[in-house]
Amino acid sequence: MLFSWLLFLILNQGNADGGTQWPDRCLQNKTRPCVLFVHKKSHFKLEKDQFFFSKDSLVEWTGKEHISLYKGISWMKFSEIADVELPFGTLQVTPESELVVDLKDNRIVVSVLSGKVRVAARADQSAYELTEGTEVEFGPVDYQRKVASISLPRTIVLPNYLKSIQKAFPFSDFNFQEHLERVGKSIRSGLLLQSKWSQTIVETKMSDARRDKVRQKYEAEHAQRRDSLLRRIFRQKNNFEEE
Amino acid sequence: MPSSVYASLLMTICACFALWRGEQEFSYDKELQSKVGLLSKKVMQEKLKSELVLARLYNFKQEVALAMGDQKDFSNNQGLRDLASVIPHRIQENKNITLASQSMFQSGKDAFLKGEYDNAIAKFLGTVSQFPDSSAQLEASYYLVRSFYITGNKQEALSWSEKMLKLFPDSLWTAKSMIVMAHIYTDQNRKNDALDVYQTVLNSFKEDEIQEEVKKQLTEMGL
Repeated sequence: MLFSWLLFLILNQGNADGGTQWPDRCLQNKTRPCVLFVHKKSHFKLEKDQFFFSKDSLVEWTGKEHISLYKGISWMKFSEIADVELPFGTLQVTPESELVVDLKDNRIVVSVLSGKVRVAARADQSAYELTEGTEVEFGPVDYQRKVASISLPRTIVLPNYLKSIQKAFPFSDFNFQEHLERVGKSIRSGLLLQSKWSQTIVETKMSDARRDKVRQKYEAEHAQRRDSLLRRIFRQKNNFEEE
Repeated sequence: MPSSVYASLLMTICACFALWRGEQEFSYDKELQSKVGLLSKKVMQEKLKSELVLARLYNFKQEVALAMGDQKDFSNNQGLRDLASVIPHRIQENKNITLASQSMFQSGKDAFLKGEYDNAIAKFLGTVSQFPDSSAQLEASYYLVRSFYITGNKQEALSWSEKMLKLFPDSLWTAKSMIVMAHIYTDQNRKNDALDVYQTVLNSFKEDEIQEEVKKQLTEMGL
């Protein structure tokens, strides 16, 4: 009896780790499309790509390096170029990129931990390139603008990131502290980049202000010169004496 | 033969019997477990499929919202709005629509049941104006009709009832609000108008609840 229960527990553990796949065992057989519904937070390794998924995540592999995320929180590391489709937009991932995607109700947060990710909102022709330590937030289609909404890139907000990742990170398999240190480094480089953006914005604003000042000065002088020229012509035309 | 030989023979038989029973029990357990395993796998597969359908519907709703790009006002097309309902109205941004609208509607209903009609009207108006895409809108509109009727503001009650008829023509709540509309006409001595409304409700809504209510009202009118 005891042996049978042990056997049952072992078998059950094995099934739960993989989540439910449709078609059955499609991940192992590399069948595409392949849908995965995750029962509990799990770690998957597909060839050289790695994934952590939170409980109740719903993911579909539609082709080689083409993934659709429908639900849940996902940490992903890609060895090659990959396309990730989301309800409100798409991501193009460069090799060796590491990112976290958190799909919430009417909101998706994409945080890049390493590499570069090109993000585009649904039906939007333009795209942003996110580098390490930065994140962006998507919203549903705004029917007045006819595109999905997307925020400006910003540095990863650590408290929010921690809330998300703890639902997907398998603490037993990996060292969380090590992960946190790496995220910290990414955020630092994100902050450096953002401070460069801010510096560029400030410098641009300052140079705009300087240029405005020079232009105003030039226009004032020019206006004065034009006035005196017009006055002279007027006087000459009317045979007035010069003052 | 010595008795110890009998005893050991008996014990061996007992042990064999126990082993045989145990094995039988084990194979029965194993069979049950494999059945349970298969069934739970099937359940999970069905769950996966239903989650996938919901996810694809959500994606489709985005497409509908995109296709409806030129239509800025959804208020006259409830069906379309339901299909593209992922679009939050501007005033609903940053709010949990379902929770907030339900809690506002519920507090209005509580006030209504306590007879605090002015408070109830304020809450119902808040629900319909702040959460135009929420599911509570229909019921809140119906309670607005009733609250206005009870407080004697018949013109407002009629206006909300007409609004419901225009926006949600197929809803049971609209049928109920039309019954209130007929009451108002009866109070105003517009018997023919009231009869027209009752007739429309009888023809359009076949649900027992509505049919019985209308027939009761008609009997009360002596018809």
